[in-house]
Amino acid sequence: MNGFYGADVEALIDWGLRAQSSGRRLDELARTLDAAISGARWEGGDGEAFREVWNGTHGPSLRAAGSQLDGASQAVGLHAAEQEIASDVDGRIDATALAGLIGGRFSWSDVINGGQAVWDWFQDPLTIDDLGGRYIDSAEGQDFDPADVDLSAEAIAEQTVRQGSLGDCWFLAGLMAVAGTDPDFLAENIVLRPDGTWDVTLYEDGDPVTVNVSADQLAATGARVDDDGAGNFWADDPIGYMSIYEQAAINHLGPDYESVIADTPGRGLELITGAPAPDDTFLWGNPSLEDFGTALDEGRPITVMSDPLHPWRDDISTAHVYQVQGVDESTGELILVNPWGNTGEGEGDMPHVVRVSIQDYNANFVMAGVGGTPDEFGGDR
Amino acid sequence: MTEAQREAEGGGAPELVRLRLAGRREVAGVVVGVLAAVMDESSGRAVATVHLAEQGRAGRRVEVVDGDRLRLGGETWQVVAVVPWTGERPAGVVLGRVA
Repeated sequence: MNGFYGADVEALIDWGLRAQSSGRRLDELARTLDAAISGARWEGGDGEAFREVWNGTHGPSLRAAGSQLDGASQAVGLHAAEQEIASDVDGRIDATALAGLIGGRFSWSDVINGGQAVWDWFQDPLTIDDLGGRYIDSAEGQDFDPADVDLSAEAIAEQTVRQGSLGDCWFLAGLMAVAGTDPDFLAENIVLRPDGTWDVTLYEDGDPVTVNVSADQLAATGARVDDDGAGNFWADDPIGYMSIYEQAAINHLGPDYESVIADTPGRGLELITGAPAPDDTFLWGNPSLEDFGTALDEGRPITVMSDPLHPWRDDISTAHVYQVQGVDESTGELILVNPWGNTGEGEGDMPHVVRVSIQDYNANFVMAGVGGTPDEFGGDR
Repeated sequence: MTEAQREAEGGGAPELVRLRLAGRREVAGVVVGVLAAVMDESSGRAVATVHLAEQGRAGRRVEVVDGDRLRLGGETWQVVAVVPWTGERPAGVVLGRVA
C-alpha cells in the first residue's frame, strides 16, 4: 500500500469524457448505417435477411453500446464528484473540471440524483470549519477576553439562549430549564481559572466530572447569548454560560461534535444536574397540566421533545427540545421556550415562546424529561 | 485539488454547507434553520422545511426538496441533498452555492 485510497479525479474525468465521446460516436455511426442500409437498393432474399439481422441485432447492439458508454461516462462523473467532495477538507467540488461531463454540462441535480444514494452527506463528522471556524478568529471575537463573560447567577437567570449550528437542543433546553429553577447551581459549576480557561462541572451517573474549556475551542456559530430581542442580529451576540457549557459537553462526550447532536430531554438534565431525570417515567407519556404544574412548583427543570416526523402545528419544529417554562392556569396552556432564541416576529418566524394546550402537547410532543429537585442537583457531591 | 490550487485557478468551486436538523447558521448573511427533514411517503422524496431569517425582514419558512434553489443574501444556493430523519443517522440539509 502506498497510502493512496480513492481515485485520481483528473483521470476519472479524462476517461469519462473519452467514454462519453465514444458513446456518442457509436450512436452517430448507428444512425448513419441505419440510413445507408435502409436507403440502399438491395432486393431479394439476401437483402431482406441482412436488413433483418441489422435491424434486429447489429443496429440495436451498436446503439446499446453507445448508450452504455454514455451512461458509464455519467457514472464516472458522479464518482469524480464524490471523490472531489471526499478529498476536499471543505467538501467542495471543482465544478469547472466536471463541466461537459455530466448531462452535457455540470449540474447539481445530476450529482444529487446520482450521488445521494451512495453518499451519506453526514457520514463525516462536522468539523469546526462546518461551524464557521473559531470564534476568536471571527470579527467579533478578535478582542475576546474570557474575564468579560458574565457568569453570575443573575446573568444566567436573565440571559436568552440562542442555539447555533449544532443540533444540541436537548442540552441547551436543559440548561435553560435549570437556569430557570436554580441559576446559582450553574454559576457554581463554571469557574474561570487564572489561565483564562474555564472548568465546568458535568455529571455522569451522578458523579461530578470537571471539564476544561478554552476560548480557542469555541466555534463561531455555536450557542450564544441572544441579546437583541426580535432583531435577530447574530454577529454581535456575545459568549455566555451556554457557549461554555456547550463546549464542555462536546469535550466531555467527544470525540467530535457528533457526540452532542441529538439526544433525549432527560439525558441533558442528568448531564447538567447529576440528578436522575428519566424520560417520561414521571409523566407516563400522558401528562396532565396539573402534572406539569406540580413538577414546576417543586423546582424541577422540564424539557420536552417534539414529534420527529409530523408536529401538527407549524410553529413547532420537528425533533426539537423545548424548555417548559410554566403553566398558564388561566388559559390551560403550557408555556414552552425555543432554544433558538428570537427569530423575528413575522408570521413565518418561529416563536421564541410557544403556548400549547395539553391536547396540543399530546399531539405534538413525544417525550418529556423531568429533572430532580434542586436539593438533588449535584448528584453525589 | 487543494484550496490554494482552486484559488489559483480562479474559483468555480461551489461551497457546500451542511446544516443539521434543528440547528441554525448563517449562510450568505441569512440565518438558515432546519425545521424538519422527513421522507414524504406520498412522493417518496425527502422534504425539508427551512426557516430563513434576514436582518430587518420578516422570516419565512420554505419547504424544499433536493434540486430546489434558494436566494440567500444576493446569492443563489441549491439544495444539494435532504437527509431525512430516521432516528438512526444524522439528518439535515446540504446547500451548495451556485456560482
